[in-house]
Amino acid sequence: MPQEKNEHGDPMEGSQGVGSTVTARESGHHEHQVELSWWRRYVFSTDHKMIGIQYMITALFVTLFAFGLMVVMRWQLSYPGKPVPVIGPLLTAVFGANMAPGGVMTPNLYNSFGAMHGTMMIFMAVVPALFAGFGNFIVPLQLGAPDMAFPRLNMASFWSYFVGVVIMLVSFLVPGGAAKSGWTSYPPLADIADTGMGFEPILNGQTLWLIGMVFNITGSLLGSINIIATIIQLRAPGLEWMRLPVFVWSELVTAFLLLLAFPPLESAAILQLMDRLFGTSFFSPDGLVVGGRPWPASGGGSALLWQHLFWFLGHPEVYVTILPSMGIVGEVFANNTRKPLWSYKMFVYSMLAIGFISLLVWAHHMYMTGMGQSVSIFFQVFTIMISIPSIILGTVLLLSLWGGSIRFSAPMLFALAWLPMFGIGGLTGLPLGYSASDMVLHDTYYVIGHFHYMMAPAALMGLFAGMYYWFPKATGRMLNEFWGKVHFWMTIIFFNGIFFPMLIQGYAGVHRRWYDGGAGWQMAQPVLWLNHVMSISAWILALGQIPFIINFFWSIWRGKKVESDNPWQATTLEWATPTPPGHGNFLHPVEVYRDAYEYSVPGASRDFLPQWEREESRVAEPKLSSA
Amino acid sequence: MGAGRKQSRGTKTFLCITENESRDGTGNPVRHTTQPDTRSYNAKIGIWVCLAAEFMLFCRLFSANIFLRMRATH
Ligand code: HEM
Ligand SMILES: [Cu+2]
Repeated sequence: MPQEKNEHGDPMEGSQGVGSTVTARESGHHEHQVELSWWRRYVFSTDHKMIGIQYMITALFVTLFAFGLMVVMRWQLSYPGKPVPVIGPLLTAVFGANMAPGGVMTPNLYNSFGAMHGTMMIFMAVVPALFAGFGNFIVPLQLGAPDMAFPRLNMASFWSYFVGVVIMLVSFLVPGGAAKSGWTSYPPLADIADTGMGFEPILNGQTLWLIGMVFNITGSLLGSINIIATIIQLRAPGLEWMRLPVFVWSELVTAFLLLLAFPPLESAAILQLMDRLFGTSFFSPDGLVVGGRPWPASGGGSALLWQHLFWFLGHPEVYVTILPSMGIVGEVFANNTRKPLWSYKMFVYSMLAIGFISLLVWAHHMYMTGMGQSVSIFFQVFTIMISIPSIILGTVLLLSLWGGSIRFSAPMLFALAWLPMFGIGGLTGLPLGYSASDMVLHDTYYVIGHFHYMMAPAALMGLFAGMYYWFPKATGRMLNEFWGKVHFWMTIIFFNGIFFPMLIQGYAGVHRRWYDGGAGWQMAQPVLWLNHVMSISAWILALGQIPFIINFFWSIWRGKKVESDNPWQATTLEWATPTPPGHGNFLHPVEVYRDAYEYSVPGASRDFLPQWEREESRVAEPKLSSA
Repeated sequence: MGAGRKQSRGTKTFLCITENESRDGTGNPVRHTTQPDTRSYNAKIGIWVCLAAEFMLFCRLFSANIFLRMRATH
């Protein structure tokens, strides 16, 4: 099919369709059926589904890469100063003899791996996969929309993100290596890092980190504008607010958080960039002395200013990672317990409350900075307040299980495991929320344990649940259930093997970011053996992902074909599309007649009533609509 | 042919649009009907949302600058 077809589309063509169904005609001479070129279809696509898949694939790759960094770091933590086995020579070859002499990690290499692990995981893996990947693919389908509100903006947001990822990856290869100042990039350290002898003025780790972040943030902002406009504008007729699937709600809240919280970080990144490139001193204070010499900046800046700008994003950002996964878990719960969520309204209001309060708690990351008592009380109160909607949300999910006939499918296993992981993560947050107890726990492995329970077991469980749940819609084939269960057990067991000991070590006072894993600290000796438990768990966890990776690729081409457009017998609109949906999504105009989760309605012949069916359909099994 | 709608399977991508939709210049489906509860069009919502983000961005830039000016000793 000649590709220029799509270039002379007449915008009003569609409304000339005769009658109610006739719009598509013969493809040969009419623009209604347009075959796009390979580039427009797979690379510079404006189709929300392809963009979602692009996001997902890129983000999964980044996840694997950033996990790989940690797998290497765990060696250094367990066996400080010993050459890394197997890939040691590779480290020396790639990062040079002064970063990894003889395959041993130097502190600089360790720091850059650590900083990049955090940065890439949070900003470029978990959020793009959950918010943008699933958000792009699923939200328009669940709304009954033909595409996002702004398809070309959507493409721009993906490519902006992609450029950010490439910049981050390239920064490993510049002289001096990637950024080393942590994912938080605190100045004045970050202002002076990677400057001077042996560093390029722009092509150095920290500067590239900032530039990469500006691209990434720009992409996120465009994406969140698009999600918000889509949800507000493109709901199908009848899809009132309180009929929206919970995943759509979670995306809406997340998008607002990104929209309001990311710009301050973008401005902070620009200011730090100016500090580094143009000699301003937004973040470098008076009288800064580096290496025995006064730092050549005019001073007067404030390092605390950065912390405020950073955590104003940073805290909402952590909810950005967890909210979409809450939404996914809600979907999977309703579908696999075969009953409505115990209280849809409470679920939605809790998410709204979490979203709102999370904009008011950022300084709980800064109790140690010497803030006054009234400021500290303000932030303590709101921090503890946020646990109320969190607990309500967990309770809604727990009660939803009550009396359900639970299908223990692979997505449901991941969703079920999400709940206790979220519980541990939330409960360990409470002692951090009070400044008195945070004083001792701040910057220990306890904090690392706390947030990983949220971000790794919880957020990633949501990711996998969504993956196993929606894979058939995207590909027309199921992921293998047996290997899904193997993947699940490997993942859940070894996640806990990694993160639970962190809480114990943190209680014993082991500090985060220590290059030798606490070996040099007398008080840490009784808990040092846990380093081996954690490292071995991390390595087995890596092995445990192999079934998933093989299953993923195998199932794309060889997996069991779905027999209906609605293989899970679900109620939400994404299952009303053909499998996989084409550009434009729906074959007929959809209309919504009921709430999102009408499962096991008394008196109905089937145990689910889809949102798009006016009367209960007499057909036992919906068939593929597009044979 | 005319009647019915062609839909893609596998790698073929055909545009599939419904009665109250059409395509823009690059082939994206666009819906014509406006949302009854907002009575607004996409671009308007989009711009307002975007303005909110810009507001946050520039507020921080300017306030950081003022902050620096106030504290600077020389
Ligand atoms: C349920 C209520 C929660 C409370 C009360 C809470 C409280 C806290 C507090 C006070 C800190 C600062 C600790 C310190 O640095 O000394 C902290 C750190 C952190 N929390 Fe939470 N949190 C909660 C939920 C979450 C969630 C849902 C996530 C992510 C999905 C999360 C991710 C993080 C991260 C990433 C950090 C550490 C950032 C860093 O210093 O590198 N938290 N939490
Ligand atoms: Cu926080």
